[in-house]
Amino acid sequence: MAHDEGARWLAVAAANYGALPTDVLYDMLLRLPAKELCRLRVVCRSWRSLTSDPLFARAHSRCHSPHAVVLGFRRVVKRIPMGHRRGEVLSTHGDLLCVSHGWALAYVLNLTTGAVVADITVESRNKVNRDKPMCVMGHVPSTGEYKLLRIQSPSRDDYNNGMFVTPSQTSCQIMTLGDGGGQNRPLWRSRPRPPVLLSCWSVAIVAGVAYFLLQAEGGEAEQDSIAVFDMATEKWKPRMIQGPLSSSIILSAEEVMYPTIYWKQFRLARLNERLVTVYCNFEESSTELWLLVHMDESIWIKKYTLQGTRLFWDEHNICYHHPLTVLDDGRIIIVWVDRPSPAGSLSAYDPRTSTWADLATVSGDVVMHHGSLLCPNLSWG
Amino acid sequence: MASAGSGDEKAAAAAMITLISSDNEKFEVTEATATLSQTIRHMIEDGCTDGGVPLPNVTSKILARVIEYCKKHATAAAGEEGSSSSFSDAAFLEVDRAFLEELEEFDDAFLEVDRATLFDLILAANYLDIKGLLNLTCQKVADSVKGKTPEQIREMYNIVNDLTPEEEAEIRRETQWAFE
Repeated sequence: MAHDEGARWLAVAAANYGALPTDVLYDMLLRLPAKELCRLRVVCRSWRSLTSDPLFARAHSRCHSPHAVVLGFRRVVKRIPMGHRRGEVLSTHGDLLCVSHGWALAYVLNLTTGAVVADITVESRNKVNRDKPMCVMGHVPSTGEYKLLRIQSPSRDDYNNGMFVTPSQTSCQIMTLGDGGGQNRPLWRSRPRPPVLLSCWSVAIVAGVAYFLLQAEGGEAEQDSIAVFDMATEKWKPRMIQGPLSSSIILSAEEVMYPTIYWKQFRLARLNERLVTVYCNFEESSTELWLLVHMDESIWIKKYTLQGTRLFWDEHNICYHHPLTVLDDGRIIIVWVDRPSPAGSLSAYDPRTSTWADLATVSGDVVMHHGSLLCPNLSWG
Repeated sequence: MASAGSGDEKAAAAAMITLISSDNEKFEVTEATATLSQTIRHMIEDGCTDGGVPLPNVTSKILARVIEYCKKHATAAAGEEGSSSSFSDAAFLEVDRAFLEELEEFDDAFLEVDRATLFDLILAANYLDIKGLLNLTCQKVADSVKGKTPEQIREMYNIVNDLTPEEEAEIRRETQWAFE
């Protein structure tokens, strides 16, 4: 009977290999979302082996857009099929996400399994006059290693109190994930201090290079210049990158007086493995995305200007856009952040028509997960 | 038919292909319809379609349905070519959209078949290498699997669970998030 025949091929019983093409089953399964496929691994052995195959996982990732992950405390709350920071510093690569709370601990979460892979002690012993430590994770393409970088800087209160602070008060350490036997006790290695006073509030890691947007308070940096740490060589670049707008914006006297407020107009982001400076223009309610095209020459191009929704800031609140990814069809996935409330929304912006489409309301941090849910250890070199 | 302008029609008429089902029924189709199948396209290119194309894997019942699909979509393909080359204004886009909607309705109605027929259509689409039809039918099966429990799927498709209870427990542990 035809029915039985159909059933047989769906089972992809190895015994019936010749009669029914596995590639048809393969095609059918490729269309299912990853969560369904993981759930259906218990159907039978052949479904499991097919959906666990790295080749299948890669093909599946190509067919399905990456998905956004909403984070709760030490767990994944929700996956929304389609690195952003808020309060905490988040850095991702493939399946792994490092969350730095700026408290004593940071942790690394596997976005596929939802498991906490490593807890990391962030705070160093010398606590005097230190700002909250910051821990970011990067993936070194040449070696495949995941490294964590820990930075502690003089506290912002010190600036405000008029204390004299210098780059020498900043410490910088690095470790390789998986080193040191017990995963909870990573081995930190001291690295040279950054070449400038690094009290940074926005960071992005692209291809194993960490970019720190500098704050102007130290008086040494241009308002959107960027310090660069190479995680492969574990060294700071001697020269900073000039930001895209540092020469074109003239601050008013008031802005010079209260520069931190205006500082928040700039933010770094990783967008499809490129470094982007996100410039929120609150006056015009537009967001510009500037793409770094040449690091040594500090050459940027203005790739997108997002318009048409409300941006806002005052002393207590700030609403802005943060880009997560550019989809294959050219739409940009944007998180609209409304601090300090946890609410936000996920939208798709189509630059060709300048239109927005709401995707989801989110409560909590959102990051993009470009790894495969089917194959947690798939390498994304 | 008027004889004027019949050159094209003649060429089209000359390009009829005979498809022969497994139960020996013959179907006459235009080359435009037949070449939606990559398998038949290659046969035509190789010049081995004289005397008909035997399709021993496809019954007449299924072949009739496949041809119905190809006829509709061959017209669509021709329409698309025409519109992209000569028209681009709003009125024609409107016509295009209406046609695409009609095509979608056709596809939906086409898929209103029992599971056995659906599987036979997948097999035929795979064998004849008709991408659109394979997409359509595979998606239909994928949609029918969505949201079902593993037990329901085994029952639906007569799949024997060959995993040991330990293995099953292990998989459930590994992919616990998917069951939440």
